[in-house]
Amino acid sequence: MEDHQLVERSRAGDIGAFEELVKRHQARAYAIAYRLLGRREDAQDVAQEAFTRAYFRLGEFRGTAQFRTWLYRILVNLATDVLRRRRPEVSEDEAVFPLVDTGGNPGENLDRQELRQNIEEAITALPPDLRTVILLRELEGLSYAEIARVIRRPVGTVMSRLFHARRRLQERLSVYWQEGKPG
Amino acid sequence: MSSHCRHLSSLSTYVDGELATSQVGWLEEHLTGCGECRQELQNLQKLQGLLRRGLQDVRPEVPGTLWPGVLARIQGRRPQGLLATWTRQIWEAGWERPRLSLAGATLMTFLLLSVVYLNWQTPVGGPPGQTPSVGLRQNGVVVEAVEPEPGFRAMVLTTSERGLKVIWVVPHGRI
Repeated sequence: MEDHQLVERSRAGDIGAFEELVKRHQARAYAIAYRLLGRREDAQDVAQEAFTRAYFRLGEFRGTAQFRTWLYRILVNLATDVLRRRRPEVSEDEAVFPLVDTGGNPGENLDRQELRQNIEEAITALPPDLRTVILLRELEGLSYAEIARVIRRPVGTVMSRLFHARRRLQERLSVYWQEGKPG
Repeated sequence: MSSHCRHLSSLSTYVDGELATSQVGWLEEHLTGCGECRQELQNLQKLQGLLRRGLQDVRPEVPGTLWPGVLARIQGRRPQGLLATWTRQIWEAGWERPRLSLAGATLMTFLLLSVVYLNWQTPVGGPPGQTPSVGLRQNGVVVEAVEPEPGFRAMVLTTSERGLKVIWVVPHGRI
C-alpha cells in the first residue's frame, strides 16, 4: 500500500494504518534525529513527537509532496528547536557526540570503524544548518528541491549550504585524500 | 579556497547531478582545461563515496519503544482547536515566506497610519470672514456649511491631502 493511501486511512481514524506509516519511516526518521542531535534519548523524543504531530496534522498534508518530505520538515523543525535550546549549555566543540553505532558488525576491520568514527565526528562538528542539509542529501538522498521544502529555504540556499558543508568536511577528512589511506 | 570559487561551488552541485542542464556543458568544457577543478571534482566524488559508506552502512537501531511512545502521545493528547491551528499555520507561513510577510505587515501598517492620519486632521475653515456652521469629516473629506451672502448657503468640501476644495452654492431653502 502506498503512503498516500495509508495517510487517507489514518485520516479516517484507522490507527493501524498510521502505525504502518510510522514503522515504514521510523528507521530513517530516527537516524536523522540521532545524527542531528547525537543523543539517543533526544532522538527518540524528537522522532516520537514528530510522528505525533504528523498524526494530528494529517488534515494539512496535501499530497503534493511525499509523506517523508513532509514528515522530515516537522522532524527537522523539532530537532532545530532542541539544538537551539541546547546551545547556551553546550559549545560546538562539546557537541561532538559519540555517534558510532557500537552494536555494529564485530567482523568489521578497524580501518573501516575508524573511518566511520571520523566521518561521524566531522559531521557532528558542523553547524546545525550545514549538518541538516548534508544528512538529508547523503543519508537520505533527497533532491535539492525536497531539501528546500524540508528546511523552508530556496534551492540556492541548499546549494550554498551543501558547498560549505563539503568544504568543511574535506578539511576535517583531508587525511583520506593522502596516499595510502582508505577511500 | 582557490581562485576557482565560482567553479568549485558549481562542482558541488554537479556531483549531485543537480546542476542546470544549460551549465553542465559549460562546466564540462571548463574541466577539460582546468586541472585544479578536475582534482577538486575527484575529491568531491571521493568525499561523497566516503560519506555514503560511513552513513548508510550503519544505521542506529530504532528503539522498540518508539511506536508505543507515539501511540501513548496520540491517546493522551487532544487535537488542536481550529483557532490554534490557524494561528500556527499563519505563523509558519510567515516563516516560510518572510519577504511576503514583511511586505504584508508594511502594507497593513501604512494603511493603519493613513486612516489615523486622515481622521486626525482638524476641519479646514470656510471663506474669510465666515464661520463654518458645520464641520464633518468623512473618508478624509471635510464638509462645511457656510453662508457667504444673505440668502445663500454654500457647502464646502475640502480634501486634506491636496487642499482641493469643491464649493457648492445654493439659495436658501434648497438645502
